[in-house]
Amino acid sequence: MARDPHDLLYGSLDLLILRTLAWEAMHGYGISSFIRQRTAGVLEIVDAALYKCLHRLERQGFIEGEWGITDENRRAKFYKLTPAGRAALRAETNVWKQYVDAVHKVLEPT
Amino acid sequence: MPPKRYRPLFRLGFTRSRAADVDDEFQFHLAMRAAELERHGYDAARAREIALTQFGDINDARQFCRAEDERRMREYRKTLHLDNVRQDIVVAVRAMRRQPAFAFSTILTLGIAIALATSAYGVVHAYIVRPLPYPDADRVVRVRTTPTADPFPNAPRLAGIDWSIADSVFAVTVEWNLDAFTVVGSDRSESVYGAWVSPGYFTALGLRPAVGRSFTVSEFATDQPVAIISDALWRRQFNRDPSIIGRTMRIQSGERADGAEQVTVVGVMHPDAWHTNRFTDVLRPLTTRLFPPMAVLRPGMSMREAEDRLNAIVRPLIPGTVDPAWRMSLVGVQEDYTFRIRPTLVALLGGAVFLLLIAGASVAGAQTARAAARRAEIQIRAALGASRGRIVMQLLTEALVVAAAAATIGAVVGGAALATFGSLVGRQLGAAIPGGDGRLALGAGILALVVASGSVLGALFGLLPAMVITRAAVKHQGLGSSLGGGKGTARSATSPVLRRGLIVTQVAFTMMLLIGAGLMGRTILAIATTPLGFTDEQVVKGDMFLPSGRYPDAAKQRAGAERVLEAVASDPAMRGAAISFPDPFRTFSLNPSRVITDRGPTPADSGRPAAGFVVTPSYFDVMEIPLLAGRAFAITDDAAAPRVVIVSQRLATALWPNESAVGQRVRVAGDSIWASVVGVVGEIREPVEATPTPEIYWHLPQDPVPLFTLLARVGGDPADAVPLLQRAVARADNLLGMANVGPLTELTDRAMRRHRALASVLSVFALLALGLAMLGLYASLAYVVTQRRREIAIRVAVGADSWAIRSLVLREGVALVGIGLLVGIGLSLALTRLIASQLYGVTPTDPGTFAAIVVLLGASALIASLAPIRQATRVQPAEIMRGD
Repeated sequence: MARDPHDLLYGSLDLLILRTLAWEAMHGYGISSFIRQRTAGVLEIVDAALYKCLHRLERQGFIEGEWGITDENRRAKFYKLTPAGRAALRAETNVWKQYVDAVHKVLEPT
Repeated sequence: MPPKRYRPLFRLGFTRSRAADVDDEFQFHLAMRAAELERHGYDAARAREIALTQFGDINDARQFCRAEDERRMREYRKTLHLDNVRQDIVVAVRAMRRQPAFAFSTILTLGIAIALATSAYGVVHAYIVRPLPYPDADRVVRVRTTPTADPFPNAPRLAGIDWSIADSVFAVTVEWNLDAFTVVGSDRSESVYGAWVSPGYFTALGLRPAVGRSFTVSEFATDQPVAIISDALWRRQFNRDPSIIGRTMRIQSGERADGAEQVTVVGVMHPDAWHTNRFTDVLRPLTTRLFPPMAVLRPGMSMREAEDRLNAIVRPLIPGTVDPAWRMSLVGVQEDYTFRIRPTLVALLGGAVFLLLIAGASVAGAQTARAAARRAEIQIRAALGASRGRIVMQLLTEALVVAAAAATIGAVVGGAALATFGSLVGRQLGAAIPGGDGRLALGAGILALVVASGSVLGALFGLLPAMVITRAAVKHQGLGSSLGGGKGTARSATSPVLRRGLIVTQVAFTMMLLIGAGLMGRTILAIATTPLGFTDEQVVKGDMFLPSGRYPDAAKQRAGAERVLEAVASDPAMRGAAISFPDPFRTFSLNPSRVITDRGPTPADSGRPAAGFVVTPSYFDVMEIPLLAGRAFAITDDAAAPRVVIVSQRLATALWPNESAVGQRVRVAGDSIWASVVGVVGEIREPVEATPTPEIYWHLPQDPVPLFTLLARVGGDPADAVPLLQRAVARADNLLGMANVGPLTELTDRAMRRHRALASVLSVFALLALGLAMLGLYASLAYVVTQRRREIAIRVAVGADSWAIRSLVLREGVALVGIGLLVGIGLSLALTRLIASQLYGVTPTDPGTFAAIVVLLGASALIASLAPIRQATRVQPAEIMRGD
């Protein structure tokens, strides 16, 4: 699968999106704002990469897009997690944690 | 990750425009971001600029997202399609389970027809389609000494030609000299068929011993006492003892005086070794060049070219003048082997194919008649948004599921039938299956092909009704009337043309099968009722030959035949014994002799064809052939006495129409000695396929033959007399054996076996077809009555009597059957010619048979119409009107 070069780290944007959508269905702008707020601006996501990731995840069947109406009465495409996406989130989270642990062990002096 | 399932309704809304969707989504994002920036104090233009910059490469993202969406939709459509197929199959199976009797009868009908077609094709495949089991089978040819298969009157004598000249034409020549050998066994001697064969016999036909070795070059060069025996003989005489190789066995040749008695067995042929003739039990090396009955063409040389070259070489070598019409001819070995049974095979396969078509039409008819019931279901589906193509796919799937089930059953049953009854086929057809009985089984590839083509056929028969049903259903969808249960729009449910066409087709094809079966039945009857001209019951027969080693000349052969006859006559159980060659059924068919009288021949008249027999004086008594004039042969007509002949009644009237045959002089073309006619006897039945020939009899003591059939009349069951006959022969000469010992009626049976086989097969086909056609007609008429209930009710209400109602239904039936019969007669007239060569005593267009079949079909049609007619007369006007 072709990965976007703007990915933060291999697979990490996927994980962030899936985790974000685990709370509730959101449109692309909402996801972008949410991640920025949650990470207090540490993770600045290029929007183009975000959308490419969303459409790829949708094609892969992890998320499902549906047009709806926002609180401001605007038409927007809302994404939500599919059961397959929920399973992928669980699996990827574990992998990510192991990865982080491994990196941590290398960086921390024993 | 398994592909995700979507809810179709949601999808339908979403798939509208993917390209615009991506743009909308991006625009929404940019607008929201710009609005946020404005809240932080940027002016509108600046906010929009920043939003756009933050977004990144928007064109790249747009392109990527659109591509991803496209790809997602493609994958989705694929799964949707697979889902549809799966759903269609589920619905089809459900529909079958809802009406199990209908599904069962449909599958059974098609299954039986496909099984029969599979078996028929299997037989045709084994004989005609698959090459004979020879290497380069397509280049192996039979060499004929005449232009055609028929006897040629002025064929020159080819003796004396050095046949090594054939090497300049062919790649390999296969020469053999057929022979009969007596294998002297420990308890009883046995006559077996064998041949003296050239090296080409092994190389060209790919035959080689499974045990031991082939003949060496030196064994083909000079006469040496070596032999190769068949697996069958090895089993019969030596119990498959492997130590047979190198051992000597005692055999006597019928053909060759110099044939050694003690020969060393050097090899045993493979059990699968197969040759077009049965002379395979003992093979001995041929050390001289003979006329090659078989040859292998050179690669790249056509049969025509080889034939021309052969004639160009042979013709100048023939002494004297040669009839300009004469030439040698080549024919493919497979064509030569199968040409006699080809019409039977064509009739067999044709019958099966027509039965298959009838079964298909029957199934299509049944599907069409179900239209009324299915219409409501289909209209609901159409109303729920299913397209016509989608509905047709559904109905087509139903047909495919049924057809695939039927084809699978048919292929399995047909294949099993071939494997089980395969050995019968060769015997019934009178020509062994090329390569042996085991080669009849169909391969997996062909069975798969049967299933595939059966499914396609089923799909076709399913498609017609599907198109018709949906057209009608979708057209009347708006009326909503049909949802109420088949009221109104009575004429629209199915196309009457299609329904009627199917019935006409069935009747016409059934007529053809019935005619074929009828003609073959008449043939059997004609063969069975044509007087044999002799009595075949209570006669036991056996083929014998006098080995030329001990019976080298005419005098010895004469004495030997006499001794055998005396030995048989001395047994009190035997009421008389005689010798004839060939046997009265002409199992060894010979070219007819040309009989010339002393009044001729004129140059144009080369003699009248007649079947020649060599017999002993008691022959006419033993066979109970009546003596009509003159006398039978007498002991005094011996070798020293003037030559005498006896002619059959028909030959006598043909040659001397206005005077007595007795006392006339005749000779045979190619023979200079004249003989006087001493008697006239009754005609005997000629072989079914031979050109009709009267008979001429020669006296054995004057024309001794080493090969003959021993016939003995017994008091009781001839089967019981077999050992008596064998013992009597052993008493005469304990080194003599017999072959094919048994009741003479075996030959009577064999004479009509192939015809009886074809008659039985066609009868089964025809009866199945008749049953299907009658069912089809019944269903069609019953359907018409249901559809026209309202009309009938109105007619009854306004005073039509029951006869008017009856004729209403009957008219429909009569019209359909009438057209079917006419078409059937036309087809039959065109196609019965194909089995003309298999007919005996009846012409392919026999008016009696045609009339009988028309009556039979008409009567059957009437019976099939009875129930629908009764149904029509029971229509209650009040009920129908109220029902509406």
